[in-house]
Amino acid sequence: MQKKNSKNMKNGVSRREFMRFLGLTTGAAAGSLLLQAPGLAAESSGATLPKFKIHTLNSTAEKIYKCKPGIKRFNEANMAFKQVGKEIGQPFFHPLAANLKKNVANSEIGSGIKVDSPDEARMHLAFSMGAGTWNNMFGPYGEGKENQGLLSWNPLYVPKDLAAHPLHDPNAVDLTKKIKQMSRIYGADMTGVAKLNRKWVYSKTCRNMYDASPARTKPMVFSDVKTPRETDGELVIPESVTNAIVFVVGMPRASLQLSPSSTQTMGGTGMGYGRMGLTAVALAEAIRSLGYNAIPCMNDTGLSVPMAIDAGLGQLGRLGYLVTPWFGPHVRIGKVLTDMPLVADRPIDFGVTEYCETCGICARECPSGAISADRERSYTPPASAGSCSNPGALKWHVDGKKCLRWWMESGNGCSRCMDVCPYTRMTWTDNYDGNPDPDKFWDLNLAPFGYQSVKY
Amino acid sequence: MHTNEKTVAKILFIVAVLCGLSALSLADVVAGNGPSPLIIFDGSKDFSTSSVEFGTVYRGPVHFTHGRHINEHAVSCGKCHHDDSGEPINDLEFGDGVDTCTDCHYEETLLRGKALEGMSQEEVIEHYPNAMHELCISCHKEMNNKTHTLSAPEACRSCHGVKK
Repeated sequence: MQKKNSKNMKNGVSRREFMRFLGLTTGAAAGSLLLQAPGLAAESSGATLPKFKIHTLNSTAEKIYKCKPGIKRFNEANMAFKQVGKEIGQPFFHPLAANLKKNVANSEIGSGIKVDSPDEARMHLAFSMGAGTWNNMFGPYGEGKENQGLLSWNPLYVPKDLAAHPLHDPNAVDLTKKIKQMSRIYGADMTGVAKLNRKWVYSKTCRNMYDASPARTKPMVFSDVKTPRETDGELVIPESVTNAIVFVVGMPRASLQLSPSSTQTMGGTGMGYGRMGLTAVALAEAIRSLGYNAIPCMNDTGLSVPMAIDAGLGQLGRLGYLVTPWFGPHVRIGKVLTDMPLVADRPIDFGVTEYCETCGICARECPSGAISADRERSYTPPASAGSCSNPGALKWHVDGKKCLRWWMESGNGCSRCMDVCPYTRMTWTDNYDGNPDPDKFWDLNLAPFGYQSVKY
Repeated sequence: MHTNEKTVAKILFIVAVLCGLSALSLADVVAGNGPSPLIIFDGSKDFSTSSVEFGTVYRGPVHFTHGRHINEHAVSCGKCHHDDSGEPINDLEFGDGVDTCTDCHYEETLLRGKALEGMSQEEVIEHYPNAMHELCISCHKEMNNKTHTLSAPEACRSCHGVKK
């Protein structure tokens, strides 16, 4: 069998073609090599600095957050984007755009953030428009876009013969090491591997996420098939897909510090999503070229946060986001589901739950009151969140509808919770925080992708 | 929606929907093999939080404008003013004496989250902030949903501003 595979591959792809393909892939990823470590600039806060250690746990997200046995897979149609769109009778971005337009005319780049002129406000918008480019190419965002465009569940450019023949002698340890290295070069800051818990995979996709009409859903099922596929009635994931490669990308810090609700934060978020999409798709193609199935995911296909927890990338914070030890919650999460043999990482604990219990700064600073202000976590989402929040896990529930309606009202994305989180400020502060002057943004000496501390 | 707004909306759809570290592997960091297995974090910094319920920075006074609500949005008196049994009072003239809200909604604290558990609606709206939030925000939401806009403020920050 192995001999036959080898022969087919040799016949299907010439060495020259193969090397040319590798060259193209490497070239595409070269930009990501410029990334630099942001540095741990906690000293600049002038505070006394206790230290914490990262502990590994022999557990899972399901156990750590004490999920009830009956916890249901989340239906993508319950995302706030869809639910609020139905409430308002419009795609949510219509009112958002109308209010953004007013902001620009009033020389504002966000809620209460004035700049010198409408032209200057347009300058910040222009940054945001450009920053969303990769995201637009790969998703955007991914919700409802499973198996569509570059998020295809099957090879994009990898020759069929190459994709059809797995490695002769796969070594999970070696593969894990090399896949993580590829992921880093493609754009991920940190990468982990989790055993895929199917409870984190959406029960259904929603194909019309951003309009106000009734949801057009399609179930996502696991079945004994060789490759991922889509029929008129279902999206089918092979039973063999048991691993999730999960990665985080840091977002340009300075942009998001102009929260709440600034045009800049949309740009910073767009950059995060863009690198997420690029990394996920590139990684999926690499895995396919080794003969395994790979499903690249942005916000689609499954819940990113519990998968990232299972992959040892962080803990769930009060604000509802993953809190990482390296960037706090200031990240976007991408994932690739695969049947490639890999070694799973273990969840980590560095004290986030305990800290969030007594902090609450995100709840205090949230402009819309969307974050739970209770000290203790709960199994019950707020009634106002409706179906947007999935009950059954012990956590601080966030009211996604309140959050999204604030975006619409303010005419921008927000990210205030990420910005003010002490884990962000302590792991990646750059002296541009607080309520920085938007004019100074243009003078910041930033590394590629907005990384690195600020030098005035 | 005007063409320009549609164009901006389209662009926004593209731009906004929401909203490389080191050569260290995750395993290295977790195992403490990297240059910085410890993350320095200031747990002692004072972020001015309360110990039990977390307050809000958005607690400035709300400037309610009768004129705007009545003249621009045709809101009737009875939408807010009501009698002892909750029936709307619609025949008020400017200068008429009215009871103040806090005569009945006398509790000063805002209840959120678990603090609301097990409480009846009547008990909740004894708290003045809860009563006012319900009155204002529910009406604004209703209007926004009806007009397909987010022109009436719903969020804390929009009405209260920032007061630390």
